[in-house]
Amino acid sequence: MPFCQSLRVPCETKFFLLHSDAWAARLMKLIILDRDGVINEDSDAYIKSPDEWKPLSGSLEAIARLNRAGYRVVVATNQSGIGRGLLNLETLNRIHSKMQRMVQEAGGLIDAVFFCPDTDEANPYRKPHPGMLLEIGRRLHCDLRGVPVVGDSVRDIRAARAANAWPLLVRTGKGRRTLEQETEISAHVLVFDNLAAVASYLIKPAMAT
Amino acid sequence: MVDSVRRDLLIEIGTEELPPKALSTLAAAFEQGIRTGLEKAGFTDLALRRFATPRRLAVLVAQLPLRQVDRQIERRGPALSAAFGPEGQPTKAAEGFARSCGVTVADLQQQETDKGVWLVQVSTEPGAATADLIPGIVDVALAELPIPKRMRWGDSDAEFVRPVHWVVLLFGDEVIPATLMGVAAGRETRGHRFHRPEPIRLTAPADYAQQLATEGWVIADFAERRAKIRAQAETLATQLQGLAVIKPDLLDEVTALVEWPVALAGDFEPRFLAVPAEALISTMQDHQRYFPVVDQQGRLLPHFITITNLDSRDPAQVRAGNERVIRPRFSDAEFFWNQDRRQPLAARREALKQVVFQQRLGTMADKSVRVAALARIIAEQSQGHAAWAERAAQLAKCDLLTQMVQEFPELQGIMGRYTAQHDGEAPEVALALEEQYLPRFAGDRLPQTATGRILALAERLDTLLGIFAIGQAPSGAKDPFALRRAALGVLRLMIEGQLPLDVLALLECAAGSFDPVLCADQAIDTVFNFVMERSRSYYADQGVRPDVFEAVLECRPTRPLDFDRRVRAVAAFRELPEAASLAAANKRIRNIRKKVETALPSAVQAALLTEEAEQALAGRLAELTADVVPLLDAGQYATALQQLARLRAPVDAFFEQVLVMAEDPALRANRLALLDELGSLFLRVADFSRLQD
Repeated sequence: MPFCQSLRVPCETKFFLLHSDAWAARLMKLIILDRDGVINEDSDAYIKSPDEWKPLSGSLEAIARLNRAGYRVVVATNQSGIGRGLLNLETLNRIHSKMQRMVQEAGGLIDAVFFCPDTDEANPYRKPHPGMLLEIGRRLHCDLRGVPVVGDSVRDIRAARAANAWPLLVRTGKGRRTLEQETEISAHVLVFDNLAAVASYLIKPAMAT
Repeated sequence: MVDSVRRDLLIEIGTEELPPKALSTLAAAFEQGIRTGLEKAGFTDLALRRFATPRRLAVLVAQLPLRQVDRQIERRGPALSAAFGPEGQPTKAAEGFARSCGVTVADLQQQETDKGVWLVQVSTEPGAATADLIPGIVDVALAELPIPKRMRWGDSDAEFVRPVHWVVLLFGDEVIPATLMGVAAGRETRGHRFHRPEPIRLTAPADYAQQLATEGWVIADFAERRAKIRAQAETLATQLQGLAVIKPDLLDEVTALVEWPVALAGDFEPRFLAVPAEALISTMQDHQRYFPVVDQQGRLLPHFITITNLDSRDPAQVRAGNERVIRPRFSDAEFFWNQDRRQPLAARREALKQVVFQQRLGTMADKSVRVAALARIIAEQSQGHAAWAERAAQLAKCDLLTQMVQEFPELQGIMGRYTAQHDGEAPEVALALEEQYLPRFAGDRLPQTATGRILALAERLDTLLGIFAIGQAPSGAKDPFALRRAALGVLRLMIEGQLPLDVLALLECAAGSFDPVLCADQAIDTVFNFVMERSRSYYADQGVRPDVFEAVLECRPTRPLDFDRRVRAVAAFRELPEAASLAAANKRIRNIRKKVETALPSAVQAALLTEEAEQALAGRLAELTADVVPLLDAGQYATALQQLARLRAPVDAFFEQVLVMAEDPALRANRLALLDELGSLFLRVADFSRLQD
């Protein structure tokens, strides 16, 4: 099982019972973000402390804009650093508290953070497996079809595809490397400069004002 | 009860295999032709039944009289007053008429009508023997069948849709001697081509279907065969734990291809299910005439049902044969799908430059650029998603270049959606690629997504303006670009899609994207009128009275949704008790206004209102104006008109008590101004003077 932090109560369950149409699920407007390389600067040496967690420019504001446009923002991140013993759960909590505090200072809110501490590549909850995303869909009572999943690596794209969600690639973090090395897979995914560009593409101009 | 002077009649034309798509039409037309012929010959209360198989058209007439009834023939001569002289002597006119009838004047009779009395000659024409009339009637019926292209065969002069091999004309137990289509009529029919190739001697017309079924391996009745095919297919599908997908027109076609239907199920490799289902279904239905099988959720299963024309001794081999045929077709589809997916849709935009849309309007790439610009504007004006609309327009035509669509043109849009989904495009963009073609016909569904509606609109407006600009507007029945349908689509997308868009303004935007040489801006008004003119039939179909439509049209609203609200409001207003009187008032105002050539004062002056009735009207009007103008501004026409209906009493009183064309020019001008104010308020919705009683 992936761990989940600060998940709010799923709402609007009744609404979905009324609208069985798969596309109606989009009305709920959920967006799932990878963490490292999408929200904050990535590091090959893992993010092991709150101090090492530095937001990418514009990403916090982008989350706030998405919130204002009606999106619920959920983070789904592999955190094998825990399994490797590089950091413990308490530290991870402190990192995420910092992330949440900074997002809130920018006027936004992250609804939940899902993470998979396991190092085993076969773990169905570890991206590129879709388990973590599917779990989000289950917990939020939300059909993942058409739900944007933003990531910077092939793992994110594969997981999103396997979960029948909508993968989006950003050039931040490992994004550029992914584009260069994984031409086959990145040819069939929309690519954006950063999370801010993703938000602009998703949000109607009228809604931004 | 069998009448001894009546017998059953069977007419059967045996042919080579008839064109399946035309069979039902031919059979119905043949029955109608026989019916018309018999009615013209004076037969009434006819009971006809038709039969149709790939190899025969037949009509059974039950209990037809042996003879025509005798006919009384009346010829009218001169009027009585002109027929006899003063002494009662027949005039030349009377004698001439009698001579022309071959009788004497004394044999003529008199007939009284409301215009006077006339000489008439009454004679009886004895009825002919029915058997003598039938060959002629059948000949005419055959000649009048709706056959676009007739063919000849052998060295015969006869012409028919397919070569005729036998003709049965059986009247009771006797053959009517005749030669039709170069073939002598007889009583021998043929059974199934393989199961019963030998002739079958028919005993009685009424036993025709029965005899063919028991001896001939032929189910002659189309409807019966159709029901049988459906039942067999459904049974087989149930055995496969699925449901047969039976399109009515495919069922008709299959029914027209077989005389002795036997359903067989076949399988295909489940790996093909990875190919978009529409491609597989299209192959099965359109190319192979198979019925696809789906599960309870509507997902395709790896089976198909085919209808054979014979009871095979070795069904396994027939089944294997069919499976062998479908496999390469599915392999092609799979190959196309895998190939097409390698290249993202967006990468094909470059290649659109090689595809001509219309010579003077440029390539598909040019069109995509124009449509994308327009789609963006429409999205911005309608709370839509501009980036998605623009993207969808850029990709809209790219699927035309996929191998799949080139092989299966009916999959245009559908392949666009699949490929866009695979490319990771926004889900709504992918859906819009399919939905851009909606509505395809009158009454078809509209796009579900906002982006789909925007793209569908932009695409149609661009085509309309472009084609009009190069002078290819539809004329008469010629409408090669289906512009009438496009115009109706524009209206429906805006009205039923609740898009408060201005057609005129959008056409002006669209015109800017065309090559200036085409002077597209000069076509704007024509296209606008063409589109609005389509709403006439749109509203007629909905039962809106034409005068209501005309009243609104007179105001030339440029937003169809606004137009629609006015039409609904005026139609509701028409039902109010105040409507007739206020419509009449508007007519009077309009007529008076036409006669006045001088300029009117801009406002009513209270000091010049001398009579009580005009003061009352002015007061009421001022009150209502304050209430109604905000409603009109907000497009709440129905509520506005309900308020305006309250003017009836003061308006009636005004026209009863006040002389508008007063001697005093100041008073007169003031009254005209008052009426003008009243009329203008109504004109904000429609021209009520156009309403008919």
